[in-house]
Amino acid sequence: MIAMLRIGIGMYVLSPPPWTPAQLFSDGQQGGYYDTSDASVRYIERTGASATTPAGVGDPLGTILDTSPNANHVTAPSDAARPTVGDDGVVHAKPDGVDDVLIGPSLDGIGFPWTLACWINPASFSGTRGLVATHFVGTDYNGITLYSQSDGTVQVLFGDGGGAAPDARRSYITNDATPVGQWSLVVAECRGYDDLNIYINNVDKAFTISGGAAAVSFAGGNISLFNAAAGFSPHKQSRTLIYRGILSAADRTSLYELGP
Amino acid sequence: MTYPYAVSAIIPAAMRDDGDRLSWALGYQPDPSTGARTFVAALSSDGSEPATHYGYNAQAAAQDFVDILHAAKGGTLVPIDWEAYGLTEKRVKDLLQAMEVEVSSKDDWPWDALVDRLGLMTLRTEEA
Repeated sequence: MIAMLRIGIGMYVLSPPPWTPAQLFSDGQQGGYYDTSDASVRYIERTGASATTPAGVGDPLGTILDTSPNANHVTAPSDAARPTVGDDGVVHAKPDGVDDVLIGPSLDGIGFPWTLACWINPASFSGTRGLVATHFVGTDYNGITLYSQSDGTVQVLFGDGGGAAPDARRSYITNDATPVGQWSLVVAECRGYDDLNIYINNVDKAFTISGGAAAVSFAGGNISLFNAAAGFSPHKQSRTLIYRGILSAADRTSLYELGP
Repeated sequence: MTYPYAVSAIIPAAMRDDGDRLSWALGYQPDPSTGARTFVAALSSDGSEPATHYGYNAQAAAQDFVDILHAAKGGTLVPIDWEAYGLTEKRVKDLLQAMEVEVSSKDDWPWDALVDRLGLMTLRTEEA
């Protein structure tokens, strides 16, 4: 939509439309955008596009509709797996850290590049907790996953497709942590093997590499929020992006300035 | 509809498949043959493998599940064609007898209390 600004009597100029993450997908890129602050995309039922009952604050969240053109809606695999809609000034998803997860369609065989991003507000940290993943397959480590670690650092993991042998997976863990009790935007831009950047609140963070040299496995798997292999997340989470591409600096800043 | 309750339940690992079938029969999940499960939280006495128990933690819209459970523990099952869900009445009763449940308000998730009461720990898969 093109907006017009009135700058004087009878004078109008065209102004650019406000930036939205949906614009990232204008050239048909794969991925999804899950905006928990948008009441029109939250539903209680876990039936995706056919869900009918809006999920208000305090309700279980069975579906988040993808507002990218891909319609990669995420749904809970069971009633028990639904997180709760919370509101701390930001309307968000609050998974219970026990069994809550939302899963989207499979992205079979899609390799680099990928950007994963989400806003999180942790109350505390314990264990390795999945935030968002490109190729979730049960307890196996596939695709690219963004984790929150037990000390609040952020981990990007390239999964080798196996459920064991962690030395065969490539891990990138930031030296800095996300704070407790505050909303932080974490962004991982993954161009290829050992070629990535991790941002916390739009600041490029140094990271430590560990693990093996095996190629990341993109051989099938689903989009997932709040869980991937290592553990279910208890962190408040909002505005989650999975994007088969790399953000420009301007887009990353716009995503940050959009807020949680 | 409001969701005032939180329900946590844990069953022995050997009953996990029947637990998921029961959840399917009650409309809480799809057919388990699709890969869907309700009992996904793996537990053991020291948090190491193998899992000896599985559980779930959920919001509940009303006391319907609790009422079903209490009735079942008293020997009365809701009228469901259990065999259509791969169950028998006896297996459902056995399952419900073995199921440990905690119910509380949603503001006070009962999961930790239930796990502590049973002397269990959540299985942690290896650090990623």
